Parts: sequence; structure tokens; C-alpha cells
Amino acid sequence: MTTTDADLEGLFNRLADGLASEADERTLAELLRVSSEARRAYREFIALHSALHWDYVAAAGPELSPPPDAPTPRPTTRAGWFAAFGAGVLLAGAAAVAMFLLRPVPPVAPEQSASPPKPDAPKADRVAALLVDGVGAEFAPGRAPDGVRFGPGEYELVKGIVHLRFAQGADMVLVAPARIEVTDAQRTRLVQGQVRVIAPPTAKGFTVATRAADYVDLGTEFGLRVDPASGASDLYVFDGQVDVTDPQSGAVRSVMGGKSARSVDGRPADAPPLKEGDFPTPGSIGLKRWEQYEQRMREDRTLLAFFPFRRQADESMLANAVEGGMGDGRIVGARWTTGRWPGKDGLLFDRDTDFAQVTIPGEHQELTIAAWVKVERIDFVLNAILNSDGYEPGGIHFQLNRQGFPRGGVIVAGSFKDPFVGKPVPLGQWVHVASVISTRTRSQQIYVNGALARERTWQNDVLVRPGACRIGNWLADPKDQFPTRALRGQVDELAVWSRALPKEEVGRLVEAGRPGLLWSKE
Amino acid sequence: MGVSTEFVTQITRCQRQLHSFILSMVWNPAEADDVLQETNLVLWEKVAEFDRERPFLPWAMRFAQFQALAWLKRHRRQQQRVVFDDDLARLLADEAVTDEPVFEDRRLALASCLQKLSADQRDLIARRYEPDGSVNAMAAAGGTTPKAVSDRLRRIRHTLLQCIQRKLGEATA
Repeated sequence: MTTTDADLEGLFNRLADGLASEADERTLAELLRVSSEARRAYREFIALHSALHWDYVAAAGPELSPPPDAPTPRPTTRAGWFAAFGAGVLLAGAAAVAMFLLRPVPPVAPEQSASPPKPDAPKADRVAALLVDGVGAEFAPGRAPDGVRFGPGEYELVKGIVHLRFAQGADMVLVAPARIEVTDAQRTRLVQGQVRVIAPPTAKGFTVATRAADYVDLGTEFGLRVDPASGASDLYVFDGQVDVTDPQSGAVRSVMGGKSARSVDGRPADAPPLKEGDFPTPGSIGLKRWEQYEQRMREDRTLLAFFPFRRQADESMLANAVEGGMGDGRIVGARWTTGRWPGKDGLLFDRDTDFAQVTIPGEHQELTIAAWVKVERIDFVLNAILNSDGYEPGGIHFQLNRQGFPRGGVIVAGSFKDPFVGKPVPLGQWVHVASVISTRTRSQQIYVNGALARERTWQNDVLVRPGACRIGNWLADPKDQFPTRALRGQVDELAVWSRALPKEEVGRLVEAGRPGLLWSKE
Repeated sequence: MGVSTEFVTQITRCQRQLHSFILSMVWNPAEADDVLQETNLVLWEKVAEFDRERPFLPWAMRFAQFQALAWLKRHRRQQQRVVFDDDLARLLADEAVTDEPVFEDRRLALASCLQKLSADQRDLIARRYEPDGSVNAMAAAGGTTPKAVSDRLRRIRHTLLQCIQRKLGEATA
């Protein structure tokens, strides 16, 4: 192949600008495989592409006034970000190290563009903390992070809760209304509001300053609240030790785990008693996010059933949040445990006789079943997530085989094919599984954490008639050679729709319900 | 504590190079940001396995390689997965490591080359690379075609690449 430098640059530019054709992609594949010279040119081009992305503000030129027709920086950037945030998108990896040398903060806030640039603006290049989680979070205009990035500066949380991770590992959960001034990765001023701080050994010395005192963390967990009216700071040390320094006198006193202390104008006093719900934990953010998702789910009219797995006064009842549809389920043997987050209920299935009985009435052309499960062990050839009783045409099976590969579908006469088999369900961690059945296309897809894990097709017409089903078990057909199909693990959410959910929607369910930031889909 | 500080220094230092490598596989800078963040998360989780006696970048690059491939599997259509199979991804990652000595020099050269562009050219680059900037949006705003915008960008990028090459030549001459 003869390719000139100009051809190469043309190709690279089309790729970079999203204009490449499939033929371009094939050409690139071939060139990169055969030519080290092409790879070098490609690396140099991409390094430029990357650097311009990081430094686009440099291109705009700090000393030049923006041309009159320059686009107004989008004021919706943050709003857009937080909309995505609500859906849990982009969170992956935000927990990442807060150690970024980042692009200069773009001059987004319109109200800031009128004021002269701050002399220390370039320092914002260094990021002190990253936003790793949040629920219902809204920041005041001009006092918001740049996406997930918190550089030195002032921030005001007007609604919701956020979880920040500082560069040296300190975690801070901030509850609105709150104002903080981030100095650097190890020091933040709490002007108003309440925070919970969890500092691992790497963040020893992490300091939260208030008007009344400096709080130096010596490897611990504590809550701190500043009352804006009185300026009083209340400290509650949950574990470890916090040194409280009077900014005037420099006097230090240590507060140990289990103790609390109030500081007002340098004077020590007693802190009011701790109330339940003060100082939320990082885990409680996940639960709150799920509760908002639960509310949205309740509004989905295409749901036949939504079992949020909330423990009822009658512990044998598996409550269905969709009224008038399938009705509630009945729990036999399976026991209530803690699900994806503290405060979230789930059911543990660990004996051959454990199950929850539900009934999915009617005949359906399309059906989707989605559940959050945590499989502890696989004991049988087949292990049921949700199976129709017996083995009648139109019944459904949704189960794992001994290798953990999901399988099943609708029971239909004639042969079927499984043209695609993907990854198995990992053990010991929360996993989202979804089975999407369409008799229109005579096909079924099973997704594991939103990724296609199996596809099945069949030849003959059938309607889906699930009828009586068991979660976590199977009422065996007496003739079957694998009658015991008991699940060993937990389930903490199960939903059934009378339609075939597209892959994108399954992906959104995964994002909305992901157990936490450190959870990986892989 | 010592390892951690060292780790933080190293991971900070190699951010741009990891981004550049990831971008060579995903092409869209903002998406490369996401993959970089995923990579950082993995690196942070692997901190215990970090051996300060060994070079950091090749170690980190391996995780970037896996994350970029995993991302392509999740997000891209079949074609791009064919472009970058495991072997090619590894080759690109290995070769990217060899750029380490000159990577920073090229970046500094770029900073001075940007100053030499005309105001119009710099404006075009700034609009292309601002958050959510794209040739499609620029074409729509300017009443022209994406290809026309891309052609203008291509000429500017060509100028910048030439200028960087020249600067590096001057430095070593």
C-alpha cells in the first residue's frame, strides 16, 4: 500500500473529527498493523489531539479578548452533568484518584466573565478532590465543581448530598446547605453545613478549618457541623482521634473516638447530642439514589410487577409496588438480609427449600425480567433466578448453569439456537441480570450488567404465559433429570415488564442501581 | 505512606500520556477522559501491587490498554473492535511508552507553536476543543459543512505538527 503523509493526515483528521467512514477505519487498521512509521505519525497526531483537548484554553489565548462572535460558554454544562449524574452515568472512575493535572478550568460561569481574571487562576490546574457520588446535588452558580473536579476555591452545595474524595485519600460527605473553601488536597474550610470525614492513613493530617477551630484528622472518622448564625462548630469523633486547634491561641486538645466537642469563639463547650441521620455515610448516598430510582420505577405503566424487596410487617410477604397487576409474592424459607446498601433489604436463598412464589398472569408477546442478584455459590447443574413452575409451553426459565452462564427463555416446541454466548455471572458481587423475550422476533436476549451475555432464537410460534413462578428456585417437573435448581445467594430487586426493553434501557437500569462507585461492571 | 506519595506523584505525571494513548483507541477526547478516569480508579485499587523499583508508565499503560479495550467493547460498533484487537492495542501501548522521553518536550513545543497561530486559527481550535465542541456543531453554527470545518482544522493541525517538529529539531541541533 502506498500512502502519502497527506493521505495519512487526512485519515487521522477524519477520525479525530468523527467523520471517518468504515473504509477509513479499515485503512487505519491495516496501516497500524504493517507500518511502524504510520504508528509513529499516528501517535504524534493523537498526542496533538489530546494536548489540544487538555489545553484548549491556551489556544483561546488568555491575553486575547474573546471575539464578539465567540460562542457563549454553555451555562448548561453543569446542569447537563448533573442530569447525567442522576442517572449514575459517568460515575465510573470518578472515584479515581483525585490526582489529576487537569485542563484549566474553562471560564464557564457567565457572571465570572465580567470580572478580571484572578491572578492565581492557573493554580486551578491542580485538582484537590473529585466528586465520586451524589444524590440530588445542586451547586450555586459560580460555586460549582468543574464537572467532577474540585480545584482550590469556594463551593456551595444548595441541595442534596455529595461525596468527595481528596487527592491523598480523605473522603468527605457534604450535606446541603453547605459551603466549603478547598485550599488543597489536605485542607478545606467548612464555612457552613455538615460533613462526615473518613481519612485513611495516607490522608493523616487532613484538616477541616472552621471559624471556631482547626480540626486535624489523625486517621479517623468524624462528623463536623458549623452553624452559620453562631459560628459554633460541633465535632463528633466516631473513631480514632481528632486534634482541635484554637486558631487564636494555638492551644490543642485531642478528642477521641466516641466523644464530641463544641467550639465557640475558641471556647470549648458541650456539643448537642447526636441525632439519627446526622452525617450521612458514603453508603447512604447509594441508598438515597436507589430510593429516587424506586419512585421513578413506580411511575412506569408498562411494569407488570416491581418488587423492591422491602421487608414488611408480615415478613413472608414480598410486596409488589405495582398495584392491580400481579399482586404480592409469598416468601417461603428465604430470609431477609441487607442488600446492596445498608438500609436496603434483600432476600437470602441458601437452602434447597428456599424460594419466593409469584404469579405472572396473562399471555404476552413480549416480557422482560430484570433483577439484582448476588450469587454466592453454584451448587447445581441449573440454578434458578426466576422459573415458571413445571415445564409447560409458554413458561419461562431464567437461570444460571454450573459455569455461571445465564440461560433459559420461553418453553417452546421445536428446536432453538443460542447463537451468542457471552460472559458468565461473577460470584460474590452484586450483578444486574435481565432477560428480554420477544415472540415477535422469536428471540431472547440475556444481559449481565447491561452487556449481552446470551442470545437465543427459536422457530415456532408461542405466547409467553409465565403463570406461577418461583424466585430463587424451581418447582420441578417430576420427569426432569435436574429437579433441584436452588439459588445460593441474594436477590434485592426484581421487575417484570410486558414489553421488550431495548439494550440502552437495560443499561440505564444498571447505572441507576449500581451498588457504588467502586463497583465494576466488568 | 512513602509508597503512596510516590504513587501519587507518578500517577499525576503520566496522566497526559495515558490520555493520549487511550485517545488513540477511542478517538473522542471527552470519552478518553472517561476511560482515563476508569484507568485511574483501577490503578488506585492496584496501589498495593505497585512496585516502586519498576518503571511506572509501562505498568500503568497496561491497565489503560485493558480499560480502553473494555470500553470499545461496551460502546463501539463491531468495526472499531476489529480495528483494535488485543495485539494491536498492546503494540500501541508498548510503543507509546517509548515516547516518554520526548512527550513533555512536544507538549511544551506545542504551547509555543499555538502562540504563532493567527487569532482566527486559535479561535477555531478553541471552539473545536472546548467542552462539547464538535465539527458538526461548528458547521451548523457557521452555516458550512463538517468536512469544510475539518479541512480548516486539518491545515492548522498540520501547521502545529510541523512547528513542533521544527522546535524539537532546534532543541537537539
